[in-house]
Amino acid sequence: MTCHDVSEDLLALAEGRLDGPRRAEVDAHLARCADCREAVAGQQDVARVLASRAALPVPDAFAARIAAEIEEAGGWYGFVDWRWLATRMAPVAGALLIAGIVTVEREATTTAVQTPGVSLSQVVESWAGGEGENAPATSVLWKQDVTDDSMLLTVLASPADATIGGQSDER
Amino acid sequence: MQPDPDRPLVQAAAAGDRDAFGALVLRYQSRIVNLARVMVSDAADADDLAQEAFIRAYKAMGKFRGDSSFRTWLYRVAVNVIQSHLASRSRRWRLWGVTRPRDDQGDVAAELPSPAPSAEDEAMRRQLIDRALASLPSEMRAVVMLRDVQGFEYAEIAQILGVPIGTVESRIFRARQRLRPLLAPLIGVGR
Repeated sequence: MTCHDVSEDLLALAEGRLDGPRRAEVDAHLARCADCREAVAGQQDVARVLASRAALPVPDAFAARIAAEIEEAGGWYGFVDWRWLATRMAPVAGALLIAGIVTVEREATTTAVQTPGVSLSQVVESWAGGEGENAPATSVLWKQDVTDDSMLLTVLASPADATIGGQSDER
Repeated sequence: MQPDPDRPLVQAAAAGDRDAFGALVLRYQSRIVNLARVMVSDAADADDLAQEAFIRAYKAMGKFRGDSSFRTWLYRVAVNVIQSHLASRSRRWRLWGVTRPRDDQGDVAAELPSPAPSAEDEAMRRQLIDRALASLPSEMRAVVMLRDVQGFEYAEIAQILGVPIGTVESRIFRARQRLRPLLAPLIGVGR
């Protein structure tokens, strides 16, 4: 029998929990193995020293402080297990947050589409303001009954130097 | 299975009897405070954690179903509180790049009290033991504290820590091997 074979029994042996035939086998190994004898003795020595550790005195009024804290938290909210509650409610809070964000986004998009303050013609006029009268958008603006749609089509379809009605900038 | 000696007090406390819970605090305060003091090097932190363990236990009394003894359950609450503290402290140290302060044994032999034990040496002896324990990883420290200092059975330690009995036994064995050279100056005393 080797040291490895008995290694898992040394703790039980040191604590007097090893009996029967197995005890005899381990004892036989220890009789010829100083290292294993030393290991068992070490286990017993350390256990004995640790068992002799005198307990520290409890701080003054330790129990009274606990009683006071329990008394202070006497309301129902003091006894709610907030950690437990937070864990259980986190998914609900997350879902509500996402729903709120989606709602706000949708509201903002709708408002932007419906806002009548600035028309496309005003935007294009501003954009084309630096191009002079020959700019396509400016040409469109001279015409009557111009709509946002017709002006957009003109701007997109015309070459950069073209004007409405086939007029050319070229001279 | 033996009846839980704390059962009458536990039942009364669960029904809202604060005096009954106070009696349980008095019964276990020394053990829980000493466990916390060994597990956490800072005494003020340890006392706060012990207090927190009792308050958390009080709040959770309604959830205690008696599957284990009250003592085992209370220790489990305390160990969870302490381990959470150690884990968050460790995270803070990593975050700030701080190396773990060594609560190690230092030069134990140099501070050893005289071989003849006296009443005034008791505190010094305890300090040396605690410093040796502080050099262990927390999971080893917990098992030797529960087994060798506080006298729990292996099955109970396994329940408290939520690990198999075999794990408890191997941690005990290795922890004692590590402690032996650190406690060597004390081992000769009173042999």
